[in-house]
Parts: sequence; C-alpha cells; structure tokens
Amino acid sequence: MTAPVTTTAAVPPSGAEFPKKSYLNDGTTIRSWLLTHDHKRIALLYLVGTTIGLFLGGVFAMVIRLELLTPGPTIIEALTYNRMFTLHGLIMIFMFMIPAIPGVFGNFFLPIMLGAKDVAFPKWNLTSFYVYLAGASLMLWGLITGGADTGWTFYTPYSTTTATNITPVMLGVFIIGFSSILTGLNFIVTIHTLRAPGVTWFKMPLFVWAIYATSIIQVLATPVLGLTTLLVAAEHTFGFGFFDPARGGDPILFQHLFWFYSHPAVYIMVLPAMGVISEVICAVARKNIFGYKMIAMSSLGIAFVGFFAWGHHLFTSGQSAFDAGAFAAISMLVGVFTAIKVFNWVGTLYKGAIAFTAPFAYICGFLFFLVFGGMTGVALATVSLDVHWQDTYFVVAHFHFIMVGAVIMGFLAALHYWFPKMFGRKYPEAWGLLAAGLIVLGFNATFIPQFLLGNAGMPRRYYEYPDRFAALNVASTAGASLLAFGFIIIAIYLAIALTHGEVAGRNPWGSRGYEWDVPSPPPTENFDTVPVFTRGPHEYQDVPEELSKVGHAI
Amino acid sequence: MTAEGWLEPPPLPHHYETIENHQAALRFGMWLFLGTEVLLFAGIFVGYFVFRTYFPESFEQAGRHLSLFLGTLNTFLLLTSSLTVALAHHNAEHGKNRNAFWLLMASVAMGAGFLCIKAIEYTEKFHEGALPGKFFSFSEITAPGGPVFYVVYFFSTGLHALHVIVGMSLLTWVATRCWRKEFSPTYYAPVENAGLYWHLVDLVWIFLYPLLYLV
Amino acid sequence: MASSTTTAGAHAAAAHKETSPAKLILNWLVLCGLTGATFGVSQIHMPVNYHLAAAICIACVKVTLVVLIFMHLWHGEGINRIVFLTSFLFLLLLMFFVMADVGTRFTLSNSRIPPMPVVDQKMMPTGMPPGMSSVPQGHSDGPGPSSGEAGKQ
Repeated sequence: MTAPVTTTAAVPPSGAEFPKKSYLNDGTTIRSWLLTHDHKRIALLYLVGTTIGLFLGGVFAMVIRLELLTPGPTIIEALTYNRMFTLHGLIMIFMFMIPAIPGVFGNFFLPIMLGAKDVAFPKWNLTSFYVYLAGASLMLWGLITGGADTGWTFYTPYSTTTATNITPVMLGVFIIGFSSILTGLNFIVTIHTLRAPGVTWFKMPLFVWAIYATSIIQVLATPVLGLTTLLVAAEHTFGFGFFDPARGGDPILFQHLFWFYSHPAVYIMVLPAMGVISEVICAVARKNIFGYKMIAMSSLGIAFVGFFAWGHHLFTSGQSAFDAGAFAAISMLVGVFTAIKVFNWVGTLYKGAIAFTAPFAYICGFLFFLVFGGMTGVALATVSLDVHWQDTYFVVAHFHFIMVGAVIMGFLAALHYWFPKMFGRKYPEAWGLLAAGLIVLGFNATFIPQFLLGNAGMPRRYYEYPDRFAALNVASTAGASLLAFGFIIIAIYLAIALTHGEVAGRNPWGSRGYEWDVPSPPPTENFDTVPVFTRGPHEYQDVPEELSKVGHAI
Repeated sequence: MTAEGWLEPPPLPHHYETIENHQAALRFGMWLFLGTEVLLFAGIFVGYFVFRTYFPESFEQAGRHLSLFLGTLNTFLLLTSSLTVALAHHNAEHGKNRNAFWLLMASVAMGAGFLCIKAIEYTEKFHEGALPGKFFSFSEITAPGGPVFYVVYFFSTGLHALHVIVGMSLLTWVATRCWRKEFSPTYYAPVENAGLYWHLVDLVWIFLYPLLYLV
Repeated sequence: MASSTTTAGAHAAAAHKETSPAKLILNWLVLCGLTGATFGVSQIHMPVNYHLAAAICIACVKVTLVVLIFMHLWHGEGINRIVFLTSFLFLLLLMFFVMADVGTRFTLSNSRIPPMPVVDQKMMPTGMPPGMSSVPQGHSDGPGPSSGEAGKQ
C-alpha cells in the first residue's frame, strides 16, 4: 500500500443535517432527470423501471395463485391463465430480475466504490436505460395485444406454431438484451480503467467483484439469446423450419441456444445479490469479511462454471446421454462455489456483534433460501432424479427459492442498507423488521407447499389439478398473499421515509465500505478530487474508523 | 485549428485523468463489444455444424449451387476494404485527415460493391426457389435438408449484410469527421473503433466464405 | 482515474507502437494468397471432412492475421487479447457441447441395449435428423458426418 497517510477526520454526529447540495437537487427540471448522465440519477431511473416491473410481475403472480386456489376454473379461463404465467415470467425476469441489482445498486455504487466520478461511458449508460425502456414497452405491448401463451421459455415448436403473435415479444426481449449488454460492458470498462489510487484488484469491495462477474456473463451470454429470439421470430413469421423437425430442423438446438443464455442468466440475477450480502454482512456483524479472496474468486468461478451447466435443462428433452452426464457433473460444481460463499458468510457472522436490523433479517432469509434452493438444485441436477421432477412444481419451487428467495432478499437487503446513502434519510426500523418477517414467512408458506406438490406429481403450468392437491395449493396462495402484503408495507414506509424519514447522516451504519465516506446523499460528482483509499473496504477490526482522504463537496 | 492542420481534440470527459486512459477505455469497450458480436454469430455457426452433421449431402449439393466466382470476388472486396480501413486508421493517427477520408470512402464503396454482389446472388436464389423453409422449391437439391441449408445461408449472410450496412454507416460517419480534420495523434479513437468493427465484419466473412461456398 | 493503477492504462503506451503501411499491405497480400489457397484446396479431390478441416484451418490463420495486424492486437493491450480469446473460447465451448450432443445422441445411449423397434417409415416426415429418426444408427463412436448419414433416408 503506497497511498499517503490520511488525516483522521471527525465523524459527523448521527443527527447530522441534510446536505444542502446533492445529486438529488442538482437540477430539478424533469429534463435534468430524463437526460442526465449522472450514474446516480440513472440508477434511480432504473429503480423506477424495475419497481414497476416487480409490481406488474407480482400482480400477475397473484392472479396465477388465485386461479390455482381451487382445483377447477376459479377466476380466469385456461388461455388467460397461460398468458398470465407468460406475462409473469417475462416481466419478472427481463424487467425486474436481470436489471434490478446491477441497474440500480450497481449503477449507483460501483463508481463510488471505485473512487470514480462516473462510469466509463455515461452516455451509453443513459442509452442502456432507454433501450431497456423501449424493449420493455415493446415486450409488454406485444404480450398484451398479441397474447403470447408460450411461457417465458418460448420452447419450439409450440412457440413457432402458436396462433398468438409472439414476434413483438421476441423483439422486445432482443432489445432488452442490448441494454443488458451495454450495462455490463460499461461496468467492466469502469472497473478496469477508473479505479482510484489504492483500490487494487484485491481491495475492491466484494460487491464490485460480484458485479464484475455478472457483467462478464451479460456480455458473453446475452448475444446468443439475441440470435435465438431473432431465429424464433423469423421462424414464427416466415416458417423457416430451423427448429421444426418436419422441415429438418432441430427443436433441441433451440433449447441448447436458449439455455446457453438463460442458465447463466440465473447467475446474472443471483451474483449481484451475493455481492450485496457480502457487503451488508460485514456491516451488521461489525467484522472483517471472512475469506475475501475466496468470495471474490468464487464469483468468477460461478460465472465460468455456470456457463457450462445449461444442459441440465435438457435432461428429458432428448439430449444425448453423454451430454446429460457431462452437464450433470458440471452443474454440481456450481454448488461447490456457492457453498464456499455460504461458509465464508457464516464465518463472518461467527462471534460478530450482530445488530438485528432489517438488512440482517434479509441476510438470514437469503442464507436459508440460497442453501435450500441450492441443495434442491443439486438434487435436480442428478439425471435420474430429474426425470421424476422435470416440469413439476418441484422445479418451480426450486427456482423460486433462488430467484425470488435469494435475489429478492438481496435486493431488499440492498434497498434497506443503502437507502440512507441514496436518499439521505432513514427508514423506520420497526416497520422494516415487521415487513421482513412477513416476507420471509410468506415466502416459505408460498413455496414449501410447492415442493411437496411437485414431489407428489403436480405438473407446472397446468390450469386445473386433482382435488388431492387442493390443501397445499390453498396454503401456497395464502403464503403469496402474505408476501404481497409485506411488499405493500415496504412500499408505504419507504415512500414516507423519502421525505419524512430521520436524516441519516454520512454513515448511520458505522460501515467501513468506501461508499459511506461520501455524504448522504452524495454530491453530483461524488468526489471533488481523486480520493485515496488507505484501508480495505471490509476492515472493521483493529482499525479505528477514519474517513478516507476524499474531496468532500461540503 | 492547430498549427499542424487539425482541430483541437474534444475536451477530456471529467471523470478521466488522462487522455491515454480515456482512449484505452474506448478501445477496451470496443473489444468487449466485438466479443459480443463473436457470440452473436456463434449461434449461427453452431446451427451450421449441427445441420451439416444431419444433412452432409444436401449441404454439399447446395454449396455447389452457390456462385463460387461471386463469393470469391466478395472475399477479395472485403479483404481490400479491410486494408484501406487499416491504412485510414494509420493516416488519421498521423493527422493526415484527407488521406484517411479518401481511404474510408474507398472502403465504403467496396462495402457497397459487396452488397450489390450479394443482392445479385439473392435475386438468383429467389428465381431458382432456393429459399429457406416453406418457400423452398429448388428441384436440383435432391437430398433432404435443402430448406435448412437455405435457412442457414440466408440467416448468416443476411445478418452479415446487416453488419456490413452498419459498418458502412460508421465508416461514413468517421469519414465526414476526417473531412472536418478532427483527428490528430492524440485523438483518433473513433476511426480506430469504426475500423475495428469493420474488421470484425471481415472476420465473419472469412469463416462464412469457405463454409458456405467451398465445402 | 489515475492511469498508473489501471490495467488498461498501464499498457496504453504500448499501443502506440504502430504498424507501418508496408506491413499492412504485405498482410493484405498474404491474406489474398491465403484466400487463393483455400480456393485451390477446395478444388483438390479429397474426402469432404478433409476439405472442412483445411478450410477451417486456413480461415483461422487468416483471422489471426487480421486480428494481430489490421486490428493491432500484436501491439495492443493485453486485456483486449484476453477479451477476444475469451469470446472465441466461449464460442468453441458452446459448439463443443452442442456437437457432443448431436454426435452422441442415441449412439452412446443405445450402445449397450437392443436397437429401437422400427416404426412405419411412412409415419416419419422426410428429412428427420438422425436423433429423431426411427432407424437404429449403428455404433459409430463420435461426432462427425458419419453419424449423420441416416438423415438421408
């Protein structure tokens, strides 16, 4: 470490005043928000977009759960039901999960954590948001007017022969893919070229490592999805027969190309959440992170191995036995890297001075859901077991444990942990804990019955089911209502806290992360001069809290 | 206009410390983008090999029906345009904006030539009925799998032609900036990046040409 | 922010080593020669697999030349080389796993069990991929056009 010795600055008292100038009031016209190049404002644009996605996806999820409340038809028709799960899947994945944590918290904190004033290409950053908006609008418009009923996976030959109009949906997904690529590309270049002095590769915050691994997947996998959506759209429109066995095509090839993106996409969703947990867990336990390099490297390990696990979606699709075996073995390696992270997080909590706050409640939920979802994932990666579980509610419950359980826990932990930094105000802790409790409870109540349903043989995407599945389905719907109730509470108290919350001050958590050295909310350019970071981002023990030498705006 | 005969470079974006760092970032970003392009075409190449494995005979038959002369001519056109783009980059880097302009325009012209030849080939295919999927009505391919070959053929060359069009637009844009003498030894990243894109278009064709026309 | 600490910045100076126009033109001549070579090889009478292998090898050499000289990776930053190689690695791995599937679909899984029952050929559309065809495939032991011969029936 060659950085100069810093002077110990006084820590502002917790009852600090709200900064007079920040990125929030630097330009108050609508134009200054919509055409901003500031990464923090773009992050807030993404927050609005992804929250709308979460809301819509949640509404459609509730419609599905209400329909499944009774064995027969309940509130909607069978075709509407198919459209509902297609809407739910596509919106949740492409409008919420994939852009949520990188787009919101990555955009906001990555440059600050590196000591940079902005991301490498601010204009492209704004472009990526509008591309996301355009793609999402086209997709939604296509879904609503065309009534696509294929599910989010677009399996051929159904998707290429369905009477519904899926072409605008495919093009919308293609366009959202562009946005995802731009974001990832921007982050990779930022990490390589804009690190401040003192921020060496192994002194980067772990959130940055996670975003780095995520971005690599976004850049390498998304183009293949783009090509696949184009092929399906062309095939649906012109009857090409690329994936149609009657014309010599190969439907299994579609599944290969589709899952080459869509399996790594799971890691696009979950790796940033893991990064959030690595950050928050140190702050709530007030301990140095245990096994920094292990956590950093396992992110890259998951990114790499996760790429070559896609074939476990094809075990019963007619894929060869050789590939099935190879993909099963590789899939299990993902479990090894994930376990490394889990052990390190638990090691960090061990003998920590834990503050039981809302972010910590979400960490507890995250650890449980990730381990539970991960272990059932290892079970599903076993070829012989998968034959039994394929396309049942067991699979549905498994991937919701990872994608809703782990990812939403990470998203909510990040939202609560960084809310004071982003908006300068605190959220009400008691309400936060209550909502966290409701969400964790509601989540378990929703999806544990689905494991049992799937194991008993209830297939996914079915409109009706035999009476013997009724009790568990009622339990699942009740849990979903609880989950929805938790989200409503969060939306209400965060909206109130935006303007009426207690002023947070620079560092209400006493966190050592670099982002807490700047005022809350941060000034437009983050730093007046190039900051010099003299300590690591997760150093709590044996290091007195001192501000890094950063050029404060005020 | 500076004494050397080029415009002042645009101001350095506020978040970069040095111009070298900015240029390196631009170049790195472009290479990452080229990486995504490689994977975009990866799907098509995978499709080619899969269907070639299924239908080796019809792929041979159909390959023989493509015009070897036009394909080879197109290969030379793209290679030469790659050379002129590389030379334009070299000239822009030395502030010789006018030379760079003419070299870039030559590349655009060759790109247009490429597209014209492609259009001739497409017209011929349309008349023969050598078309993808359900439009296939080409009697000279007797082995099964003919329609699939033409899906691969039209999709790969079509996607490539789209990239040629985008590349030509980029080259035209930097050529107009050359005409305004914007580039200098300290600022030439746009020429370099547009050139990199054009070279990638060439790279894809280097693989497509033998796979479609020769084998 | 400061180039001294950054990977790409540290190599920025190296990128200024440039390729002379003479080298560029020489490279172009070599590329044209290789195009001629790939055309020439295609006219030689030999098995189609050899043709495929030769064409791909020559194309790889050409691509390497374009990337190293026209695209300046020879003098360029190391990170850009890594990016490009990584994208090719992932292309190859995608191709490997898909081709491994196509090449071993049925031959491996059927190698120790009796052949599948033959169903009525009239039920099968023409041009089925071998994986979907009803006729057992024999026991070819790897990917390659040989395993696709059945597609013709």
